[in-house]
Amino acid sequence: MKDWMSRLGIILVLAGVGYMFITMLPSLTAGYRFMTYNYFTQMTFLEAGAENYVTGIYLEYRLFDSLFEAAILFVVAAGILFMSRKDEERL
Amino acid sequence: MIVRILLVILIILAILVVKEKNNLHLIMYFSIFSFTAASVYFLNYALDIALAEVAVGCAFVPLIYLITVSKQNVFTVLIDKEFLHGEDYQDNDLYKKLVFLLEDFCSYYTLELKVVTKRVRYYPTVQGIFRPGNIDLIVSLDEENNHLVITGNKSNIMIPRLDKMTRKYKNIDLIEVDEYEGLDE
Amino acid sequence: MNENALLKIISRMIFPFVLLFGLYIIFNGDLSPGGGFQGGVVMASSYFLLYFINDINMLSVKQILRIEKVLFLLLVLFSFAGVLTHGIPFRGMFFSEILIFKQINLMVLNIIIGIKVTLGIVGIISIFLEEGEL
Repeated sequence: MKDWMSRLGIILVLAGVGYMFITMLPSLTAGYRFMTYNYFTQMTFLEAGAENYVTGIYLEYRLFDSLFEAAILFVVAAGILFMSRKDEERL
Repeated sequence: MIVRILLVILIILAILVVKEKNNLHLIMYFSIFSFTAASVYFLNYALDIALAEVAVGCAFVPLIYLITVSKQNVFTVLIDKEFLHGEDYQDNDLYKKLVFLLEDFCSYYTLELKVVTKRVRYYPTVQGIFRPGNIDLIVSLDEENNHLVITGNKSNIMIPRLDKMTRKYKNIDLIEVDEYEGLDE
Repeated sequence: MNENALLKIISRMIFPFVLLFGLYIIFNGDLSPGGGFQGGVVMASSYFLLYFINDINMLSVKQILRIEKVLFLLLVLFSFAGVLTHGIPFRGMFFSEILIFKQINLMVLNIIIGIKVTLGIVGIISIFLEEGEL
């Protein structure tokens, strides 16, 4: 009996938190919605030389994230190669 | 308005992905899900993400799933105990035909044949055996008509190919059965 | 006719067009939606249209990883050259700020990332298909 009571309690708490979050969400982000958007759309062509501001962001303002993402791809390929070898003497 | 309809379709597709049992149908539902998500991204003016989502979710990920589902090299056959009773079961005509058929089939598709004679304890019915024991075929003997009855899983890729091969033999029947997903004990 | 003939003929006909489309997405990364990552995945899918249906294997996995090492090193060097010199070669060394140097910088980065993503995805699925036989 205590099993379904605890589950019901957890579900009610989560539903209450979710309801509060959804109803308060528009007012939490009202004043900050356009600050970074205005900056990036006005200054990207002057500083990065790209008309597509997504390219300007991931190749000029956040270049190191793209560097590590390329490193992730390389490590994944090498890792899969290591895991799938079928030798007689396993490492 | 269109965006809301597409979001509801997304939820329906997600439930379908969870409840479906055939493996190949799952891959198609996942691909359609990814395509619908890409159109939701497109209608909200996020163009780069839509391009990446289509390229990854409709070409790269279903390819990996497809290769994994269809690369099962070991073909496991379970032969019922009643078929093997007695000492002279190897002289049985049906048994020789069965062995010839299985070896021909496995060497043609480069599979490895493995014969098992013990049943798994938990699932006494026919349908419940395929998943926990990782068994591909079950062979049993129908003694009245001197028939061999072979049952296989419907979502296995090898079973329709085996079906083509067993049509030449009159005494061997192939039955396809749905997969049974039971409770974990 | 054989059942597979339709797939083989169409895959061989479509292969150069998909490759060209992928290159178009990479090269016009700073004008229209696209860029290095997206074009790389499209080019990888064009290679697999040929490999998965026919049995034409053009690159082996060892060569792919060797080229990828060199490309990753090149990417690191190129991006650090911009950081360590305060971005001066890419903003015009002797002149005032000129647009063409910035566009060359963006295009070279896009090409390197595009080829790297292509080779990475081709390598991953080649290992899946061959199952570890090198």
